[in-house]
Amino acid sequence: MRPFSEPRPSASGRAAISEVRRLGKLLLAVLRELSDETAYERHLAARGREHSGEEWRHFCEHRLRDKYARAKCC
Amino acid sequence: MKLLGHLAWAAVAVLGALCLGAIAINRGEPINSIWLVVAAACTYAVGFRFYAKFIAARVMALNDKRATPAERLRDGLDYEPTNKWIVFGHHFAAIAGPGPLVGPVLAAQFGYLPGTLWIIIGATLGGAVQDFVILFASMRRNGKSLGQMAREEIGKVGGFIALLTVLLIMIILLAVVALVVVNALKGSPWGTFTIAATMPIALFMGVYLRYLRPGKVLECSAIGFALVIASIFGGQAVAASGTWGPIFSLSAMGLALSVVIYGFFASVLPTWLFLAPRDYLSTFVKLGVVVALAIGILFVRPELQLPALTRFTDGTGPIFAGKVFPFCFITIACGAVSGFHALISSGTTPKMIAKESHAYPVGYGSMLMESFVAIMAMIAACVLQPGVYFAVNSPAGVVGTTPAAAAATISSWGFPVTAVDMANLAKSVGEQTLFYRTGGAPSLALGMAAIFARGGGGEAVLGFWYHFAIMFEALFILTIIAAGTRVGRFMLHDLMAQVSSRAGKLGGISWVVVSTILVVAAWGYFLVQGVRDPLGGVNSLWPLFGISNQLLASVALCVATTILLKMHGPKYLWITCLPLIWLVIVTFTASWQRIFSPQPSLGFLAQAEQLAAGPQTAATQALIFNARLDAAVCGVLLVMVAIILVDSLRVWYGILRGTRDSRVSEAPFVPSQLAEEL
Repeated sequence: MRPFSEPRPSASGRAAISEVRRLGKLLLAVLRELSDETAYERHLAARGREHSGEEWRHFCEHRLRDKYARAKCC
Repeated sequence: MKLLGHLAWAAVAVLGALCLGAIAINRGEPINSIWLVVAAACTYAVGFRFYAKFIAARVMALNDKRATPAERLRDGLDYEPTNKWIVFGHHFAAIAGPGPLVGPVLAAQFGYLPGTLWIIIGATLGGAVQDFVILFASMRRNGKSLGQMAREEIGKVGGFIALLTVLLIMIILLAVVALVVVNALKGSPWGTFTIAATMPIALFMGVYLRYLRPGKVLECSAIGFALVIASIFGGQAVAASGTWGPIFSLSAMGLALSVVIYGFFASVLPTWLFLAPRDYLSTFVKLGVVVALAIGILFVRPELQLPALTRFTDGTGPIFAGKVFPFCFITIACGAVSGFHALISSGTTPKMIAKESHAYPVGYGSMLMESFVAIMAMIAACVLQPGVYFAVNSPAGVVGTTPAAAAATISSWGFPVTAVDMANLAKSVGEQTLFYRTGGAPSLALGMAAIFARGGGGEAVLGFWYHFAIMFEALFILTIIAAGTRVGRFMLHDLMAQVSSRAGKLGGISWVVVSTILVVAAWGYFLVQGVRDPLGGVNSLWPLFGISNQLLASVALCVATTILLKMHGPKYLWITCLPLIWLVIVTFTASWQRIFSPQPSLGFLAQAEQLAAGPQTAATQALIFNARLDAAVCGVLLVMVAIILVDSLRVWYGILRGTRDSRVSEAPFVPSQLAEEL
């Protein structure tokens, strides 16, 4: 037994921490989807390419053309 | 356990009913905003748990064993099965625009009660149902757009008119939101500098993303946000400067022309350079502010100062003319029922749904969330003293052209306010004046600033929060203007292609410039008309926008009704038919009154006649022309929707009589291979 160990959170505390982490991950995932970062990852995976400035510009060309041809809501 | 669940839901329903009852019968005493929050939350919860679930299970028969277009047509770009909460966030960010913020603020002239009830009931039984059914229909048809579904389910005429209606709405929407920004920034060097600074910031972000750190959108947006916050502080220094202050203090007309020039360049510049970085930034700021406002309201729990009902339910309101019926239901479109949402529900979202059951929280739940944003906007407007609210939102043409006259007029309505009070308030937020700031944005900013400042910092930070709120509203409105102008250009092209195949082949940079000028000129005309209008412009343009948006909702509900009729016969027709009937009654009554009412403050034609009877100047001639143009636009919208309605009735009659093909045109069933819960 370590004499000066930090108090460990209780089971309910650990559950709360993991819940907060899960929410944080979900929020980050939403932000990454909104920022097209996830779409870019999918683009790389689908084409088996590596990230590069050129590849990003190529992705943006198509992504943004489609995105801004659609009506934005009021 | 099941009994406990039933009891819990019964308690939620009773609590919601009690809160709705409390806000409905309260008179004479300020009411705490928490009553509205709880009434809305409980009603949404019951609607989501029971009504939406009933529609999902019985009417749509959502089936997770059926592969969605995201799975079947997966291409890694548009079609991609995505976690339902991510799709929810994506869909909510796409449907939430300035509408649910501005509409409730303007409708607060009737008091908080009519607007609040319409937002809660309209969203639960109408708006969310429309969004959900259209999302479902599009999902079952490989992600087809509303126009394509209208063409297939109702006929070619329906499809063409849906496209034309959307283009008209877009033009009116762009004009009215531009006017909201102009009225918020006129004579405000602090606000104008802050918004002007967002443009080089967006350009910097564009270059950063393309060449310095490609793909790092979140990182770039965080830098952009920090720069925008710095520009708010910079704006304060500019406003205090004797040299720079006057340079950034523009008149309404100067601002209108600036917005028109901005609209042109923002929509023709490469999207990566300006529009996209601005859009990322404004989306994150919008979501952040919505969350912050929700926390602020729950934390501060402010009291509503506006009464439940004002004397202006009789149609004599200073902000816009017309009685509570039908104009409350026109003024609040987004937040209760919005036809525009049908375009989003049949756009990107159906291509991202991984499992059919996800359409339930995404389609229905997102609309409830937007409705909740509208409730928060209503609260933010109603926390202002009524005298202040009317002083900010009333045009000079109604209340008088000097602060003393305006204060006297507003006080005579039973809402005491003095010119000194208003001058002090303006000083505390770093403005020269807050009179005649029609359009809703400044009063919303004042309400939000009051809530945030009470959360910490008090009056010392009121000016910062006011300009933060103005920046937030203007940032995403100007992004909508850039994106909307661009989309308008494509729509114009589509329409021309439908009329003539030669026109459809137009392209190249000269066509881009010409079509952009045409679209900018169209909304710019209405914007300038609004600036010149002595009644503030919002008085005529916002109802026109509301009418057109609700008419688009009628088109969407016609498509939805046709689909339900083909699926089940008349059994579940009431689900979309009841909101449709309500919208048709509301929009047709409102349109008729706006065109033909004998009151010059309400009827466009009566207004033109009254002006024609007076002394004739060039300005009067322009006002007469504008009033007649507004009547014509209203009439055209009305006729177009009447055509769709008649066309739909013809189709429904044929289906019920068995003389018309009633087969459902869904994509064939393919079993889903997606085992994991996304």
